[in-house]
Formats: sequence, structure tokens, C-alpha cells
Amino acid sequence: MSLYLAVAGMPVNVFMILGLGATVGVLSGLFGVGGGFLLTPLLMTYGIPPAVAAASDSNQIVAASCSGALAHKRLGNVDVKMGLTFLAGSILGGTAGTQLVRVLRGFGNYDVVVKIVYVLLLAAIGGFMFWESLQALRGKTKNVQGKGFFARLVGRLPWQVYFPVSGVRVSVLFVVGLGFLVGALAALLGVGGGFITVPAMIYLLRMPTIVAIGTDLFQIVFTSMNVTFQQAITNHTVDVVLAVLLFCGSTVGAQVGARLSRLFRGEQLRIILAVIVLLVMLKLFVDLVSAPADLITLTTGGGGH
Amino acid sequence: MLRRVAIIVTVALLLGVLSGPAAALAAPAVTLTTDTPAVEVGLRYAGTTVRFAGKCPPGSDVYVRVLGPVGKTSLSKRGQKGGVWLTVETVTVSNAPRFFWLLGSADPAALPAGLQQATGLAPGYRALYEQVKVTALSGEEPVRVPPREAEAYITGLIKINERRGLYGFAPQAIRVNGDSFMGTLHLPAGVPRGDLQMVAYAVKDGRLLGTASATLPVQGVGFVKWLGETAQHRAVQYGAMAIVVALAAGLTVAELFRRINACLGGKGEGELTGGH
Repeated sequence: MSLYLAVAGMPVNVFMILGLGATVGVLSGLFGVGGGFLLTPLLMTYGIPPAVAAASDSNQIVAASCSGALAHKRLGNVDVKMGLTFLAGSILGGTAGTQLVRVLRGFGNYDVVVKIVYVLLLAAIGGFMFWESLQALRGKTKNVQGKGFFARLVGRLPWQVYFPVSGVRVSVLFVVGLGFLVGALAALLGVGGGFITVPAMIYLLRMPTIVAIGTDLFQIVFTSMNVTFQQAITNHTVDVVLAVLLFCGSTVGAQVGARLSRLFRGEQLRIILAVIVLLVMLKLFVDLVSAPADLITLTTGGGGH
Repeated sequence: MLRRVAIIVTVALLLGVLSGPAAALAAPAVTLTTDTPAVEVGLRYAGTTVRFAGKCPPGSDVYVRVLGPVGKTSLSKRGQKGGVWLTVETVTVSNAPRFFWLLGSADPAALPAGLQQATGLAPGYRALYEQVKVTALSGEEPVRVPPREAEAYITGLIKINERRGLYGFAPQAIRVNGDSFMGTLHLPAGVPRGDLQMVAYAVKDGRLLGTASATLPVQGVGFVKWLGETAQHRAVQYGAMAIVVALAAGLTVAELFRRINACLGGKGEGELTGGH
């Protein structure tokens, strides 16, 4: 059964799009990542114009993250206080990062550096998470956040606040600062930041894995709403029908993912997420070093998580 | 003598005046019609085939050029920098038709170069290379890309559009039978909305005998029309609507699953805290 998309200007197979949405929704509910890294390229492979694929993906992430965040909220996995504090920092960081990009583009090899930094960052995050989770699974370590120098330093910062859902006491300055860094990094690298946010919440804010995932989904609702609106008024590339089809699949998938997450322990979820991060890193690395089939392509829009 | 000459000249002039329109009436004019006045693009549109036909002078070859509305396209070039492949330039290609097909009863490559140039029937999309403009951003200002580089972008755009069935060349797609011709034009699913301008050329012995044109509107209807217009012309409302629809869907599905879970006697809320 096919349906014509008014903004994309082409018909799609309804069941294919529903299936793609459901797959990405499960990942979103399980790991707290938006799924843009997977869905946008899949839609482009299907023939959707790149700008429409990225913008409509952001729109479906609004629905999927909203559905997933609610499911996690009911399970007690969303730290609203932490999420809003982190979000305030990441919005400021995103704005600063966007301005910084304009300045850095004046320097010659900015794009090359950004791409390499992103691959290295993913390799470091994925590698560390994999190693740490493996150690935890083997029972060699109970807690990765020992009272080291860094933890003691953070503990001395002013405005220490208790976040009951996460069960951590930490300085608001540190949370906002971390949000700022993640937001700025996401803007500099041109990615949504889910891969950076969840590990940052787990390892630096000491949040339980499942709460980090739920809280990340909660803040993605707001960031993806902003991206959708900007894409709609600037580029006119949000295809609501495509997004509806995608989120019919992804909202259900996100619910399934959130419930599936109950079957895993924190370290098990982290090791699967680590593998996904490493696979994405590998794909980016291959894209960087292998010659493309076509040198001239349609330009991809921004967005995604 | 003078009177005889005057009579001959008068008769000759009369014959000339009278024979002109008569000859014109006798010569078969070139015509072009399609089997549908417009292509309607609704929710179930998945591409269509349009039949066209017309009259032409006997013995002539017929070529039909179909051009879609022109527009802007953003293209990126991948290149090697510091040992890695990445986007090295992004340009805007403007004045390029979104649809371009050349159909004929014979190969237009055999036509004289002057005629190819005048009619735009040159194979290899040569006409496109002359009319398309390629610009890149230098700071805030768009600057024209040098011809050699621009050519690479136009070739890239042609390849992309050929793969999508939007550009093509079919030298044997038209059948001429005496003083009439007919052919088919396939409009792919991604055909752009707007007017398709069709021009038929009748050519014999390298001479253009006549042309005819027709307009084939490709228009959105119903929901497709409303949605397309809203996205373009009422972007703020459209953006807000996209967010509201997505939030409503997310909330609805979450509530639906909560009830399903409750009905199935699943685990209650807040049962899981997870963690390390």
C-alpha cells in the first residue's frame, strides 16, 4: 500500500515506513538515543530527499521521545529536575556552539578536524563504556565512580543540590556546565548529542543508567521540538505525513523498548549501547576513508539525534 | 505589348495571393495534444503514463521536448582533505528544470548543429549547461562557480535526476504514421508539481517544418494540495501543527500502552528504578 507524500514529493510504502519507525523506536526506548543516526540514512536510501528525511526525522523524534519519556516517567526513570537543569545548560551551549562554528569555519581544515574529533570521541566513549560494562558484568567492579580527585573536586563546587530520582547530590553549576559542554559539542559536531548525553549522565553525573536514559529522552522532547519548528519555518522540509507514519511505528517501538529495558541490568544496557556507538563510529570511519560512489550529491539537511 | 505584360503580371499576382492561403491550408500543420488535460497528484499517486499525439508533415521526423518548472537545488561535493573524504563545497544550482525529457522518432544527433542549438534538441543535455547557474557562498555573498567546476555540478545533477526518472532521452519513443504521430511520456512518482511545457518539432531533411506546444499541468489535489501549500506558505502554523500532532501521538500511544499494561495486569508504575 503506497501513500504520496506532499512535501517529499514522492510515494512511499506505508508498511516499510512503519517498520523503519518501529525499529528505531525500540532503540530509542531501550537506550535513550533519538535514532536520527540510523533513520535519516535509511530514509535517504529509500529515496526520500535528504533535507526532508532529516527534518521529518526530527518531527518523529518529538513523538517517539515523548512516548518513551512518558513510559520511563511511569517507571520512575525520569529525573525532571535534573533534565531541566541539564537542558538549560545544553540550550546555552548549543547557542554558543552555533556561534563558534561560524568563527571556526574561517579556519582552513575545520571540517576535517570536526569529523576526526567526532570519530575519536565516539571511539573513546564506546570503548570506555564497553570495557567498563564488561568489567561490571564479570563482577570485577561494583561502581565506576569512585571518590577520585575529580569526584572530590565536583563535591567542593557551590550550590550542591540533591536530585532524589537520580539519587545524587551534585552542584547545579556542574550540571549546567556539563549541559553547556554537551550542547556546544553537539553544535560543533553537527549531531543531536544523545550519544554524548547518556554517557555523560552515567559517568560524570553518576546517574543510574536507566534514569540517564529516561532523562535524556525527556530533554530530547524539547530539543527535537525546536529543530522541527526551525526546519519547518526555514527550509519547509518537514513532511508531516512521513513523520506520522514514522512515529506510528516509533511510538509503539519506544514503548516496547522502554519495557524491554526492564529485562536488562544497567551494565547490560551500557554494553549494548557501547556496541551501537562503536558500530556508528566504524561506519563514520569507513565513510571518511573510502572514496564515495558519487562525488556530487544532494545536500543533507541538519537535525537528528 | 505593354497591355499583355500588365495582364500577365496581374494574373501572376492574383495566383500568388490566392495560392498562398490555399497552400497553407493544404499543408498539414503541426499539432500536439495529450490524452489528459492535467495530471492530478493525490494521496494514491504513484506515477502515471501520459499519451500524446498530433499532426505533422508526411515524411517528417518528430521530436518532443518536455520541460518542467525551474527551481533551485542544493548540491554538495565530496572531496579528499587531510586524507579523509568529506563535503568540501556546497553550491546552489538554479534555473535548472526539475523535469527534462527529450523524445523523438529518430536520433536528434543526426540533426544539423544549428537546428539542435536553436531548438534545444541537442543530445547530452547540452542546452542545460548553457542555462543553468551554479553559485557558492563566499562569506555571506553568493558567487558564481567557474565554468569548469559548474559543469561537474550540472553533470552530477543530471545523473541524480536520471536515476529518479526526472531526466531522460528516448530517441525512438515517438511513432510517425503518415501525417500523424503518437508517443507516451512516463511521469515518475517524484514528478515535480507545476506546468510541464511540451513542444513538438517536425523536421525533414534537416529543416524545421513546424512546431506545436502544449501545457500539461501537474497539480496536487485534496489533502496533498492543502498540505503542500500550508508547508510552503503558512510555515509557522505548519511547524506548530507538526509539533502538536507529534506530541498528541506520543501522549496517545503512551496512554494506550499504560491501559494495555493495566488490563494485562503488567507491572505497576514506578516498579523499576534500574541503575548500576
